[in-house]
Amino acid sequence: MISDRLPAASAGSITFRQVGVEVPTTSPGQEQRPGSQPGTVRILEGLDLELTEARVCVIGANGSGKSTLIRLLNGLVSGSTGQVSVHGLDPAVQTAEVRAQTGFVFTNPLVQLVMPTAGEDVELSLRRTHARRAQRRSAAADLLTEFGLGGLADRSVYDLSGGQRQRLALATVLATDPVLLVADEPTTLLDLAWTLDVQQLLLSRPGIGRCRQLVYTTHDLEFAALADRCLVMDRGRVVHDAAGPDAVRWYRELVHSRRTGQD
Amino acid sequence: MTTFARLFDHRPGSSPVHRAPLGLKYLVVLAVTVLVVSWRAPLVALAALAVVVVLHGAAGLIGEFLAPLRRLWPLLLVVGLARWISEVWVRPAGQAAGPDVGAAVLNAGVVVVGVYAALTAARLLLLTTPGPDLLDGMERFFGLFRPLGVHPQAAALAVNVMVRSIPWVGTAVEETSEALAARGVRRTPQRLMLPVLVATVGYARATGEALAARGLPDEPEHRHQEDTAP
Repeated sequence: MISDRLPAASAGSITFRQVGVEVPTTSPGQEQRPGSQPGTVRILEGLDLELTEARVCVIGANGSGKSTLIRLLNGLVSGSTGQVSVHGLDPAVQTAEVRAQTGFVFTNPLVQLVMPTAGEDVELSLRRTHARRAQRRSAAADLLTEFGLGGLADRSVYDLSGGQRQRLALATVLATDPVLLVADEPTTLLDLAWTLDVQQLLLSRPGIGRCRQLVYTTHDLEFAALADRCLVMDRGRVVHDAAGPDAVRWYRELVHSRRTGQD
Repeated sequence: MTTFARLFDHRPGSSPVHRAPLGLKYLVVLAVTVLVVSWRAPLVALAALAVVVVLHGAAGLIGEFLAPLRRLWPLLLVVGLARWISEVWVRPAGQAAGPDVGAAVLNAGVVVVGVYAALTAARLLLLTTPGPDLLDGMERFFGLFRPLGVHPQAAALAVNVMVRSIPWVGTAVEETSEALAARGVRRTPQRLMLPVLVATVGYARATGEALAARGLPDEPEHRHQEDTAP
């Protein structure tokens, strides 16, 4: 079990105070939820949370607001109402500061990898901390070795397997030693072996270097069950909030009861 | 992913071309491009092409010289046809009427050869220069425009993403073609255009979001903290 190997870590604090997110509707026939402004659709509403656990997971159906919620954490999305605080900083106002200490892993690593080769992409992340190219190259080589990608520095990102790409995307993010690590369905495109590999990498990160907290979304309920805390999202709201295994059990029952029409 | 994605990737090496300063490589690309655009003569186009062939040989990449042809011949065909049509049918007012087909074909050929020389010269720069060196070079160049409000890193990243998007768009065209073929639909430019456009806009948005998430381009006060630390 991955959870047996997880180190204890003291987390930071993320708070949501009455946070709502509304975006303009793109189609006139789109369902409008009660209370939202005309011409807008509410993606998130009434978020009131304090996340202090080292590993926090968000689960829910497609379109339930999971990705929007975690995009609030580094200012990729701003709340229409309420306030978000990430380790004492407001992502909507102190965006650069928040991003300097937050690493974000996307579902598809190819949109995240913008340099031609693996080594060069890690070097791009290191530009903030290493002014000289020789320093960056050396640090990138060390980091790739640490992530089991040692012989692939000169390999095109297109020539890597899906798992290697996601591992590389993680390496480029962790190169900056983020305080908060956020991952949006990081294992969705991976086979089982790489899924377990990336899960292990992510879950073991809090407590290493500056990293204090991991927040991730997933449809993999086994992965979700490994979280210290798990939020279940439904139609833009947190409908259940518990430890990983309890939240997963509750979510399974919710889905099954809806499918059998017992809800 | 496809071979198109690798068309512009760096090929490591230690040839004189690989080791040449980035500024010199840019000047050669600029010189070739300006020459073939401003002086449309058969000898000039062939001379420019010969220079680029020699440079490929010096870089140990002579096999790469014709590689873009396999993918880009439709583009060159369109360029040549456009030139030919403009020569034959779109004559400036007062010029003698009647198409001179032979001269038009020659002029179209000159344009195609010139475009190919400029394109392969630019590609050779990409093949022989590591990505970070390109970024550093562009950042230094755009630094000259800082007094005008240009953010050098943002501008350099924008150019880098633009260059990287060329093979991506090529790959999107290939994938869309395969998707059409799988559905038994014949591939036409009209059928390709919309899906490729939508995919490209999606790629641009996702890449912009990913760069922002990585804190790029970063603010000057967040840079090189380690180097300035006591």
